[in-house]
This record gives sequence, structure tokens and C-alpha cells, in this order.
Amino acid sequence: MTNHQELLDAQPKVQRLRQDFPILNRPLVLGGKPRTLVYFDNAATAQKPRSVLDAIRSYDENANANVHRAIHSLGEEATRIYEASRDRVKTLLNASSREEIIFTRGTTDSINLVAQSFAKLLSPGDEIIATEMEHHANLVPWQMVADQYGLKLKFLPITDDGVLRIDQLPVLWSPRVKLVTLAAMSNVLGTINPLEEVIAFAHERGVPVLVDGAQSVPHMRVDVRALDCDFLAFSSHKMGGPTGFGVLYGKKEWLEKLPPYQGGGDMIRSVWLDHFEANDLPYKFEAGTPHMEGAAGLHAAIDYLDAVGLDWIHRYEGLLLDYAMEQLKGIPRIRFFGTAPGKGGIIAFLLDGIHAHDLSAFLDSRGVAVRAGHHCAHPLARRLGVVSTARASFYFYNTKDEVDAFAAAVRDASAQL
Amino acid sequence: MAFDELYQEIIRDHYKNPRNKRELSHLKAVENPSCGDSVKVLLDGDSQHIENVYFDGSGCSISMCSASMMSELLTGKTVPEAKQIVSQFLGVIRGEQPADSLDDLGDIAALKGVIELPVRVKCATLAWHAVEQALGDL
Repeated sequence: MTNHQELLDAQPKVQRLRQDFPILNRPLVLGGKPRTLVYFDNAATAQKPRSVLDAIRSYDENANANVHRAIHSLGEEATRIYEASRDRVKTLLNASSREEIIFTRGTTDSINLVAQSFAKLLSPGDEIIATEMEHHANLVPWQMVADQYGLKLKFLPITDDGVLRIDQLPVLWSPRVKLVTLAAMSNVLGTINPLEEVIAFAHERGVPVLVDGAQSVPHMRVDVRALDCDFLAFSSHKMGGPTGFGVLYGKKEWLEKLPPYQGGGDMIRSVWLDHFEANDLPYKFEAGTPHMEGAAGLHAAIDYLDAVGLDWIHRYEGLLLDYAMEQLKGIPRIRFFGTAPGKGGIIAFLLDGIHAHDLSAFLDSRGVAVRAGHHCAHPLARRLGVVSTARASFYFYNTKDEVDAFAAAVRDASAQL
Repeated sequence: MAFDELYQEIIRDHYKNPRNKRELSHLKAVENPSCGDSVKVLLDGDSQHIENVYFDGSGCSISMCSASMMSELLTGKTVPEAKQIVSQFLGVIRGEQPADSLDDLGDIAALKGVIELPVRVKCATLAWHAVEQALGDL
């Protein structure tokens, strides 16, 4: 079967799935004309299926109480729901134990947690390796601790096509390297990085690796034991769950070594006026009343993604990407950023002479939502030699027809702007 | 909003044929960190009177046409007049003053559509923040 036929054959399934997402069927009137919403800004945030919306609502209507404290029926139920979500994340990731699943506010919070806690174990002059393609969330937290603790940051370069130069890893390496941190998939280029090779190289030298999974966990199966990463950070809202919620997976041996991040309720075992004893994992890293609705929603989102099939999602998004590239190639003035083989469903592009904002506003007038800007990766934009780009990013509920509408709008923009 | 409502002919004209644009490489730019657009403004005159307004920069149609229109509008104004126009424009775009009050100010009234687009407000006001700084430095 050709890829094109496979894409066509998948459309009925996608149409069925779309019925689960109320927002995808919302009316849109632009300039007095009814338009069909084409949502291609999934790398920024994904839409939520009804089962997630119901789970959040059901939590608040039936179970809301503070977790781990309230000795009453609602408190028990809220705690059960919150902890069941942790177990669900554990099975999604194939983690060894539930103690390795820390709930956070999202990828950014997860990375800040590791940066702040890990840096306390380091000495001035120690080094951390990141890459040129990192999102600000996996760059600025390290700059902050580098500044605080006198650490040195080093960066793996990329090729002009957006492929990570892992051949440079031995060149950058030194005995002072204490951590490697990198994205599983670039939020701009779509490049899927060779994590296994990086992790094997670092582990041979006894150095842990943090993976920013914000763009990978929603789109493909990630098995932390097979991958053998030491930390994995991701957000609920990019996989159909609520905003303000996310996960840090950490190997138990590392989480036990790291000092607590934020102080407050839940993260303590006992407190005196002048000191405290930290709670056991995973609560040691969960200060304050958590986002319980977030946990309920993420649980439903994972159930939904598993039912759809993460392997199918990855495959289908690849088909959509290939089809979209065929449709876009040849449009006058179009330029692509990131053409790594096997990349994920993200297309960063420009029409020469048209500012990304103007292009995005034009596409919006056709009902097509893409992102325009530097996509929270200033250094990468500079590396690519652009100020900003437009970015279309797919999720499994996007259709071939939507790609056609998108490509037609880009073609019109090229002719009219 | 329809694309053509925002991107009116007058806006496209200022974008394609910017007025009073020249290289000002020696000046520090005011930037919009969310998109990388940048504008520099040079006021030519004395502490009371603005003879010429020049700008330099790069960005989307909205930010560049706003800069071009601003330069035309403030040319030949006294400093107090210019300050009044700047605060009037910023007030309207922020929704603090009635949009119709821009109607007497010529081309710039074409930017009224931005009021409904919170994300584009930063584009429209970039040059005005730059000239606000330049007026403060006089």
C-alpha cells in the first residue's frame, strides 16, 4: 500500500475521532464568511477530547477536596483520583515505580526542578551539555543555575538541515560534564533526536541525561526503561490534558539524591520552627496543594491516547507531514526550516519577503491557525538566520482535507502578499 | 476579523513604501521580544520642536506601517503636541480612549482594527514606544 493510500484509508477513523473534540467543530466567522477551523498549532497546545473535559468536571462535581490531608469521604476520593493518575503515567511511561512520577506545573516547571536541585550537587566549573535547538524552557533554567553556581554550559551544534551533530559530543566532552539535557523532538524543526546514542555515550561516562519530552510524549510511545533516560519532562496540555499540569519522571536513585525544590505543604514529613524533614518520594517534590483537576484530566487524556494508539498516532502524523510537504513544495518563495529525515509533524516555513506575522494573519483569515514567531527558541532562530518563522504542527485529529486547505491558503498568500 | 479589514490598502502602501526610513545603525532599537520586530527612532530638531522624524527597523506590516505613519504624523510638531499625540494613540490602542479620536490624525486611523487583536497591539505600538523614549531623551 502506498503512503498516499494509507493516508486516505485513515481518514474515516480521523473523522470519527474528531467528533470527540468539541472545539474542532466550533463555527468560525471571519470577515462575514463562515470558515472551517483548521487547527495547526498543536505544538503550542493541543485540543481536549470530551472525555478529558468530563473528567475535570466530574472531579469538581463529585470529589473535590484537598489531597493527602482530609480524613473524610471527599478527601479519600480526591486522593484516590490524584494517585490513580500517577499510576496511569507510570504505566504510560513503563516506569519502574510510582515514586518516580512527580507531578509538576508542566515541562518548564519539571526542568526548573531538576536544574535547581541538581545544581546544588555541583561545584563551580562543572559543565552541562545542551543543544542549539532547545526551547527556552530547556535553556534558561540552566543559564540561571550556571550563573548561580559558576557552571559552564556547552552546546551541541546542528546542521543547516536541523540535524543534531552528535559527532561533536566527544569533542565537547570533558571530565567536568555532569549532565546532558536535550529535547526528544525540536518544537521548531520537528527533528527527532537520537536519544539512545546520546544516553549510551553519557552513561558510559557515568553522566545522567534529561530528556525534554514536551513534543515527543504526546506523539509517540516513550518507554523510559527502554530509553534509559534519567529524567523526562513533559506537559499535560500538549497531549489533550489540562494546562498548568505536567510530569517529571526521574530514576529513583537520582530523585533520592536531589534535594527538594520548593518548600511547603505535602513535601514535608515533619517541620520544626528552624528546620524540616523532607517527605518520601514522590511527595518530596510536590509542595503545596496540587492541581487535582489536572491529574484527573491527564489520566483521561492518557486513556484516550492509548485507545487511539500512540504508535498509530506517530505513523499517521508522519503520513500527514509527507503529504503536506508534497503540497507545499513548489509554492513560489517558500522556504523550509528543518528537513531532518524521519522528523515529527512540524513544518517551520516562510515565504520570502513576507513577515511571518503577516503570513499567519493571512492564513488565519482563511481559518487556518498556525504559530508565527521564534517559537520560544531565540538562539535557534538566530542559528537559522531568521527573526521569526511560521509553524504548522499536526496532531492525529488533523485531516488530509485540512492540509489541502492550508496548502491552498499558503499558495494564495504567495500570490497575493 | 477579515484580513482585508486589518491590512487595508493604506497599510500595505506604508509597508511597501515606508516614509522617513533611513539607516540608523548607531541607535539602540526597541524590540518586541515575542516576534523579534525592532524599531529605532531619531528625532531631528530642538528641545521644543521636531523638524524631522526618521525610523529604521524590521518587522511585520503592522509594526512597520505604524512606524512610517508615526514619522509622518509627528514631523513638524512641537514637543508637547507630539507627546499628546503619542499618548492619544497608545491610549486608543490600549482601549482606554475612544477609537474615533484617531479619525482626525490621518492615515494612522487605519490601525484602529488592531484594538480587537490583543496579540497585534504590540506590533502597532512598537514604534510609538520608541518615539516615546526618544521624546523623553530630548
